[in-house]
Amino acid sequence: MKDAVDQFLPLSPATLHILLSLAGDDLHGYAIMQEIARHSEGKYKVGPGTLYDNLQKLIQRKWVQELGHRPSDDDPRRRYYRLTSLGRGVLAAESTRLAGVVREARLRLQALTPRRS
Amino acid sequence: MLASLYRRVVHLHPPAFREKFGDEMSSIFEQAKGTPAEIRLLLDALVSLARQWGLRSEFWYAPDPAPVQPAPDGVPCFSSLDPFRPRSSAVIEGLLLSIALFCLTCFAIRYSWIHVLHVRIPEVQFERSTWRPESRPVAADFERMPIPTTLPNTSSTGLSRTNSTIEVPRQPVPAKANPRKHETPATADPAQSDSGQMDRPSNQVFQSAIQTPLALETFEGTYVVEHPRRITLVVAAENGNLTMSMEGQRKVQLIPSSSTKFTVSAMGDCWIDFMPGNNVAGNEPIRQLKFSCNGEQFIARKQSRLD
Repeated sequence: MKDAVDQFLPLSPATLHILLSLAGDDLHGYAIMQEIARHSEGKYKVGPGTLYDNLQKLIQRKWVQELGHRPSDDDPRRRYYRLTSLGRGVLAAESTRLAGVVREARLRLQALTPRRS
Repeated sequence: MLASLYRRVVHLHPPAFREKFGDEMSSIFEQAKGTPAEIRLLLDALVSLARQWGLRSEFWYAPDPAPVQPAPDGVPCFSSLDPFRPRSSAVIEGLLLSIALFCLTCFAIRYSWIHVLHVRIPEVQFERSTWRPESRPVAADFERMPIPTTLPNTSSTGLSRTNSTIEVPRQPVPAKANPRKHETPATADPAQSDSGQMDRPSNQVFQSAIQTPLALETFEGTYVVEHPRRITLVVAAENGNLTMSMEGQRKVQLIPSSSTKFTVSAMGDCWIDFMPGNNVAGNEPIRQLKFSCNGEQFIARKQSRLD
């Protein structure tokens, strides 16, 4: 499974943020947009076109599952999406990769910083 | 207005995308109504439209679900053939190529209207034939043919000449009768002559399909070809026929094909054209002959009695 996941790395920023948003709970499209804006602190925003374009690919790859409409929701046009186990594995692999990049970056930056006695 | 425009842009998306996400996109836009985010959403929809049609050809149409046909033993059968969809880049490249070809064709058509193309087609050279157009008997030659069977005795040769061309006066055509261009010798009236008397030439006129107005004695003589080598031709009238003999060759018969042209029998494409001289007095009317055989031509001058 690791080989099947690694072939999709690195993920695009939009894909990463969408998977990250769905990692906590099942969300509809507008909620995904709001969650992305929240956890990126407003630095990364996606529009509906970009969102659903990526969702289309993620659904085809079976990283995201479409749940359809929730009867409890006010707007019948909203459709909810859920992160699949495969999608969760891809997100984990990407997180590990990014963590390694951050660790390496910190080590290099620490080496460059002059030490003060 | 922006909402209707946004809905139209969403409606222009590919069918599969529109059916799946069109309502959600419209719902999101409605939630942002009245805010500056409307314009950003509209621009996002336009970018999405271009991206879906340009780069997402595999998502244009929803895949048709394969009909599941159960086998006789109850095991379902599945179809694995996918509908063919050309690549978006192939479609764009084909469109550009078609436009380029169309423009090139239009330019070529317009160019041909303005500039006339002169295409030189090389002449086709046929094998040289001995039958020359200038020696071919034409209607004028037939008009010069004698109508009367007898000739007025104006000279020793029985020939009346007005110019260098050998011609025989025609019979006068009655005013009421329809003029004929050609009259066969058989229908001609031999009684018409300047002197009013019928005089037969001393020699016998050659009787053939084409009659020569000149007596055969006119063509008799010795003709000499000087170039490229000396050849002596002896033309003689024997028993009403004209014959020709060359050095080392058997005697051949000359068959008239016009008033002055004779074909050489048993020699293929060979003919002799007797050419009259400028002497209109009747002495030595034939000065030389043109002998053509198998593509080669020779001019032979008639030797006078003093030569």
